[in-house]
Amino acid sequence: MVKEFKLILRDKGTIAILVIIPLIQLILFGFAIKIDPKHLPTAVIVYDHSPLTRGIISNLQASTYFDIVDTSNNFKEAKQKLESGKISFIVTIPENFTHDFIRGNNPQILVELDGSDPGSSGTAVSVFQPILQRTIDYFIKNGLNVVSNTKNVNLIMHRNYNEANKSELSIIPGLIGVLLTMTMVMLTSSSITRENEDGTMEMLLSTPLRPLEIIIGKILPYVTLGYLQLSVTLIFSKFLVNLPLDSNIFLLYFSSAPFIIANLMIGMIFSALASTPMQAMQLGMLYQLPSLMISGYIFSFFGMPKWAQLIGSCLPMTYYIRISRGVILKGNQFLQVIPNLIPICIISVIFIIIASKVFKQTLD
Amino acid sequence: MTELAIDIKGITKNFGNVKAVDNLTLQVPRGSICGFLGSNGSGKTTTIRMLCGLLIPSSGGGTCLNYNVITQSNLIKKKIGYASQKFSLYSDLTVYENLKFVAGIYKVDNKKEKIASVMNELKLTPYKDTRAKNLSGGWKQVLTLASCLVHNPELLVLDEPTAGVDPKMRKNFWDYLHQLSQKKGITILVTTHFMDEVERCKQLVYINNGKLLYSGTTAEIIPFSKVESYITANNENSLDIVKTINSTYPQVSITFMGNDLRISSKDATSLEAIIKNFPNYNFVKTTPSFEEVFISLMQ
Repeated sequence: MVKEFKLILRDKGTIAILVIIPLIQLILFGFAIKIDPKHLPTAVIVYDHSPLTRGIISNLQASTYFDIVDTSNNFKEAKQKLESGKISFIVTIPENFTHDFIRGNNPQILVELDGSDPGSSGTAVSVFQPILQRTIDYFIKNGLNVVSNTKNVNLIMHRNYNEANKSELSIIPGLIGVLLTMTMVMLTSSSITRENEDGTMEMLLSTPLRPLEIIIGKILPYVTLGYLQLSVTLIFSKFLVNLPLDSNIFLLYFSSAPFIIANLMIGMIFSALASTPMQAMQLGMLYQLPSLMISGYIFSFFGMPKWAQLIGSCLPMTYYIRISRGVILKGNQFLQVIPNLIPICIISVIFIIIASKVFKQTLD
Repeated sequence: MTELAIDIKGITKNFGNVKAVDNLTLQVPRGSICGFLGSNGSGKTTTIRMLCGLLIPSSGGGTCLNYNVITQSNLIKKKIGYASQKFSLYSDLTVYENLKFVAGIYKVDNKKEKIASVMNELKLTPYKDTRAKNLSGGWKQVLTLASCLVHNPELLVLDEPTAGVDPKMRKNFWDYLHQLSQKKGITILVTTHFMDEVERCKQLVYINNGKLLYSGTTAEIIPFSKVESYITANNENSLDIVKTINSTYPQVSITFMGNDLRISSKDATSLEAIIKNFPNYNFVKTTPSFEEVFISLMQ
């Protein structure tokens, strides 16, 4: 036992990671992640301009659950934003809404939400009706002349891209990214630290191979493995949970390349920092945690504070989840994928540069 | 003037506050077999790694195969074969796959023929399809040597290549090194702790605490050391004489050698005087062994 304690205390890297992991978890769970996400980007399409409809919109904004970011009244444009994941809701107030309300004709408000992102929609949906009711009550109390006894507004919720609200449909596209992150980071980081331990890296470094050649030779087989894993996950998902694969799956494969490379490069960077495969795996966990928590996979990305969104924006997982959900559930095409593909490519290039810089060319 | 394969001057390597190699000057003629000797931790491996471009010297410099060891390490790497102390090929690859991999790195022409020829010369052919991890320690070392030779290097740098290898295999190994040196003109820098292997070298470089103690031919090291040795028969009281000499005369080395007792020192006058203190023993002057020479040079 004493020997074990001595060995543990001498492994400073592991101890540091043991301290850092709970710290990151505390910060993420305590401050970044919101089970009750607010400030969700919302577009409003208003065809009836009246004090009542203005009141509804301003109360939505005041509730802090919704950030009205688009008031252009262009439904097509708003729908495109919903498809590309830039907004979470489209609230449409139809023509003659106030008129129909006053006459007791049960007017409708249509709320279109992004069903592929359950983290965003849950709470906001449940607060919509009370906000609406409060606004109506306020207006009636303050002299809105309602001629009928019926004072109802029908709130129509349209859950886009996952009409049946099946949780597996919203989880699996993101899970593809989670699995790729986990395996790719771990495979490269442990493979290189193992080469260091086995002494084979010394042999490689004594040859005329350049660092970039070693890196490319190292990652290419893992890119193939990444694609194999992607295919296996998609096939299993099709047969086990009937994941719809009738969309442009080639686009998902195409977009996966920079994502896989970015993760392999992170593994490469960790292997340069770690001295044992164990340390490399622990560093991998350190990376996987934010990739899981603040990428928008489980919890709403837009519901997090700005600083957490900023960190999330540096993670390739944040963009890949939008791509996989977009392609599989929303049927996104190339032009819709580009805004998320470009950041992954940029991050990959940055990671490649860092990896080739930190990759030890000598044994110093 | 002899052409030099290795010509480094005043090379130093610091690891934090530790000076692993201290202002070392090393010259090895082309085509020679040079034994690079020193106790454990004396800086041999660090020096070798600096020559191979695996470590960057803190100061000093020089050339290896006429290329600058600091600025042209990539050119040096193309022309040397380096075998580290630890077996550093892929255990899960077969003998042939390992050699093919190395040949690929060096972009060797006629890969198949070259690998077949190296395997044939080193009698590795029967193990062609054996995974490296299933080879005995001796054959692993032979495979390492083979991997160093597939690209026709001009310089072989071998760090304790025969550690853990049985005498017969070591003999074959060294016979082959001599062949490489004589027939192909390959320069060989080899570290070893075996004294019989030291005798097989043409040149010796001896370092201690990162500093050069000797550099020259094998034949010259004994006169250079000025060590005198005496031998006497071992008897039941020999343990007492060993204890007395070890405690009283630290400059003197006394060692059991089977039925004999050997005593040596750089200080011939003192040694003669010491011997006279033990009239019951018949000390006879003899040629110092390499071990005695190295121990005395270290003192």
